Amino acid sequence: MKNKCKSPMWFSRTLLAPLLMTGNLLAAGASQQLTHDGKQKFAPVFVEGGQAVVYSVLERAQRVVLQRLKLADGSRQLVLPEGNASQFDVDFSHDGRLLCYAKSDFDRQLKLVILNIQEQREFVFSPPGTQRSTVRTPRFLPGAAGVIFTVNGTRGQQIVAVDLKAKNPKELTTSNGANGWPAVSPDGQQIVFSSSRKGAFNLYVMNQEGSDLRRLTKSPTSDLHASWSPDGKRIAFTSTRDGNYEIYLINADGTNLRRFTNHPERDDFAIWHPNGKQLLTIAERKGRFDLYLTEIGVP
Amino acid sequence: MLEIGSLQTRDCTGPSRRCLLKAGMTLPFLPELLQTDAAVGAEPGKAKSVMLVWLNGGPSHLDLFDPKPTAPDQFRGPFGTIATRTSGMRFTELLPKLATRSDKFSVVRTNINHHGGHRQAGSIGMSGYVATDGGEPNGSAEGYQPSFGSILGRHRGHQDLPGFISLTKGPIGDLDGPMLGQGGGAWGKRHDPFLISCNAAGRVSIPNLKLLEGLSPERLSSRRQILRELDRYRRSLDTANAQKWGTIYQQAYDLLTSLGRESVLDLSRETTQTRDAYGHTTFGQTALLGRRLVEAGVPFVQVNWSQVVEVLFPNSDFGWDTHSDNFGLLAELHGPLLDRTLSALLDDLEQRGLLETTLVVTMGEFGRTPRINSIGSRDHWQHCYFSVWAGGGIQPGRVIGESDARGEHPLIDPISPEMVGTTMLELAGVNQATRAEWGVLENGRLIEALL
Repeated sequence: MKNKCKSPMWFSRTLLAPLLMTGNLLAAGASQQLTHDGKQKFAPVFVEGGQAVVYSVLERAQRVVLQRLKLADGSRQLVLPEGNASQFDVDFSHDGRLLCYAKSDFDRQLKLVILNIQEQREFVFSPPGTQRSTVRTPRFLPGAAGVIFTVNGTRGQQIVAVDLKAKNPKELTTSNGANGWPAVSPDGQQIVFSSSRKGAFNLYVMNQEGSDLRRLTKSPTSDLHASWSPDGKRIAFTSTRDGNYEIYLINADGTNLRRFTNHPERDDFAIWHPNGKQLLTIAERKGRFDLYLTEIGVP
Repeated sequence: MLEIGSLQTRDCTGPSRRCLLKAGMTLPFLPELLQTDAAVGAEPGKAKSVMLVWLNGGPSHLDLFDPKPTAPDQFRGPFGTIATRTSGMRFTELLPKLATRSDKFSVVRTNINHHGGHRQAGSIGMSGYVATDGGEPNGSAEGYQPSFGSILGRHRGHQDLPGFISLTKGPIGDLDGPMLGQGGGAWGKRHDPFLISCNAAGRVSIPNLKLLEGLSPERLSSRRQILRELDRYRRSLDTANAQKWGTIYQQAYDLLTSLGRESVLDLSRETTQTRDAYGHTTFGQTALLGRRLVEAGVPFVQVNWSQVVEVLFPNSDFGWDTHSDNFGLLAELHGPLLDRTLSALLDDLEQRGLLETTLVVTMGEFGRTPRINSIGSRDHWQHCYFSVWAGGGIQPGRVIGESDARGEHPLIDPISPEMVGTTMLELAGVNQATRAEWGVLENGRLIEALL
């Protein structure tokens, strides 16, 4: 399915333009609060080489929007300002030509939308199954390899891949339990994701085609929202293993597990800054949800 | 901040006839204003107030308060379990704060309902009344018995404050319309709840009094100012309409004056720490408003997590109706929010010495299918679900009833909506004799294990 659509205005000015701003915009060694509105936020990604962040925010009941935050001056813009659909879990292709997200358009489904910014064209994948089937957490594979995502479709909750025209779906997982929150390694060869096939949500790694599965964590409670470091050597994720939502780091081979945050409130949705030295998280502090950028410190 | 809101059709000379007609359509939701047949001055029971925390849509019992970690893969779900302070009772990992407070409440694990649709089950769940055909009696609210809140509101009689306040933007329901059994039912609209809404910023509005444009808490606190406003509006009306609506406005102002006198609706009167503890979400600040209303003496307050509270999918998840992505939504949104806010509410009531006299019941209209559906989620399940009871004369720290190994059916002690309502009302002082006189829940049984 193809739809003509208007391009988000800021893409032409920023994402597709040469990056003119250089230098570290953030104080090293400090944890910096980047937003102050306190609204519920989900699934951030860095864009423009780490100079901006795009995330989903619950603007009001039944309205989740994609917002772009420019780190240099704190300015914010809606990524897709038109329409009333809810927009979740955005990702951007490495070359900046495409974005993908999950769209809830008042018809009970969450569909995958791949937006070709230059051609101003949408490609939509409607998940099979029922009128309530959903797509979540789409992530681009490097090059033109396609998009992977979580689908609540005909065979439970699985990880599926489609091409860049949202066609030719292929199941990468076919297991029992639920599979979700896939993240692609920087070289595109591996996918880390959560699966409850052996109990609670734990982290697993498989290759791009879904083979060579190996278990990365083994916890009686959930490990979620995994994110690869830029060098592909480490993974950050959320875990409730110590009784609260906290961020943990682990080597990609499953060694050197350590806790990164320690706070009585929630820390979640960690992603790596492209410089590899900082983690961006969505933290709940005093009952408000905001973005924080924190120095990682000793590797 | 309190906002009464504004009506777009109003012009600078005052409310138009269209405004009045629009207001007239909603004014039945000002029931207490006209109530005359109440049992004036009736004594409360152990529970001076009841807070019904209504989780509309059907929260999953297996993924919250009744986990089944050893059930087959098709049932158990992806969440680990954690110990609570109650011997033998485990919750899922989504409720760590409540787990450490389980000595403050009891959990019923064998609630049942008589219908699998939201509107019907919600009506039954709030009124205890089941139509003979199991559906919606006459397709109208008048076919229902009054809701528990309406019964208690009538019992306490006409006071300064409404007897039954529901914290919501509008009547709760689903795509097919509102639940018919959430108000006065056969007793008429005058026994419907008074509606107040609150957003994540703590901004309070009264949806059905939008004509009263520009009133601030400060102005509400001055009766003289309010009456001056009333006179101004009255002068702007034609004679017939002034006579028709004048009394209602007068009473509406009386009610707002009583709420405004103690700034009940002004959440900025709370400490920063208290507001933070509840969480700056719609559900969190709404629960805090509920506590303020209880503190002011409102007999029945319904705190709703419905279609206008932290709902992500438009026209789909009416609060807790997680047919799809149940596990993702519960992990990212519903579980942590419920855990934080309900814990804060119980702490707050206890610290203020209100928990002993406030019955807090948390539940939805049903649970969700123990068997995971074809799209990896859970559908409606009325055959077994949970309710959480605290304060107001119940014994805390208990597990009431036991579901089977898959959470599909009660093994013992099924608890019906009639029993829920009977127990609520009995604790609040509406005894069997009164219920029999009024023809409501006259043969209802108590949940003895809670008492």
